[in-house]
Amino acid sequence: MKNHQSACFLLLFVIGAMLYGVNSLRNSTSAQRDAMQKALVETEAATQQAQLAQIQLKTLEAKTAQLRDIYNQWKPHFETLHSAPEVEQRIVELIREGKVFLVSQKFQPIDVEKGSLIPQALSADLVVEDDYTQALNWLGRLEESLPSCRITKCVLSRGDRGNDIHLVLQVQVPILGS
Amino acid sequence: MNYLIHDIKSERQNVSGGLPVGYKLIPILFYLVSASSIALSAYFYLSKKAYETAESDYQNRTSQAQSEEGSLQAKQKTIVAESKKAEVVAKWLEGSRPLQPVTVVIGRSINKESTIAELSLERNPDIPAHTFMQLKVDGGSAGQIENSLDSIYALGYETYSAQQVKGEKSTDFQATLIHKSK
Repeated sequence: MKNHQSACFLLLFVIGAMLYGVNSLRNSTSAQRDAMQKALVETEAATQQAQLAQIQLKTLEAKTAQLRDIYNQWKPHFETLHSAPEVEQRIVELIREGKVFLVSQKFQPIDVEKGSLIPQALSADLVVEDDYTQALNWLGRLEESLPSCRITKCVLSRGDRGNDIHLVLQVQVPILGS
Repeated sequence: MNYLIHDIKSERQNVSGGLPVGYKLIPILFYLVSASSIALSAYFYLSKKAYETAESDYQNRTSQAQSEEGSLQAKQKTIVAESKKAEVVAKWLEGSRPLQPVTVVIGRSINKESTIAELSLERNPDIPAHTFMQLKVDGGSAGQIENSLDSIYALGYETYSAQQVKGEKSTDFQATLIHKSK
């Protein structure tokens, strides 16, 4: 082989190598472009998901605003008394403060809804006999002092003396779960 | 001078006879490919760098969006949990409307000729917002129960399934009270 031919073959090899190198770089660039496009699609999907979550949050906030307002307003009243003995003590205090004549009292815990915010309540069966005005005022104060209480039974009848009334009450006071 | 030059470069024949015609294209092709390779390599390299930067930017934006979504979903969970608690509280409160005002207005509505023999207010165990009322009034005119009912209506209650039995000296009335706000 002559020198000229050897030089030409060497040049052809170099040309091939350059073409191979450029093609490799082109492939690498294409792969990077595909990765970038994939990342773009993922970004768009993630952005849409975030926007959707934002819309859902706003909708949920608007939908539950009134309910949550009520909850936040009432929460302190429900959290005042944490246990059955505390409730019992509070009711006894209210009876003492109201200076009404207590005929009988019975306290017992009852199940309300297991696993919920109010799993239990203390049920108080009270029988009071006193002056009409004093007994009803005391009843009002009881409901005012224990705003979360539920009077499930209230029976008023004539008392044994003059202006007295016989008041049979069943009061339930919710006890919040932990 | 000519002599000196002549001494340095002596007359001789060409070592090679030059490239054949077909082979002459190879160096031209080499120059073209070299120039194109440099240009294309620069173009591809810059493009790749731009794509890398863009990918990195998109990945950051994806992370931010995912983080934002996570934060929003956490807030949603908090609100849902609070709403569930609120529903329990609201359900309880629906059946906890004070009854003392009802007893007071009924007492005030009774005229001098009448007396309350018994007033019973009992909540429905399944639907505590419904209060079953039984009122027994001794003496008085026929309009006494209507007076008492008007007082109850003034508090925002409505009566359902009302029944009235009038005896010789007393009147028995019973109804279910439901507050209008229900």
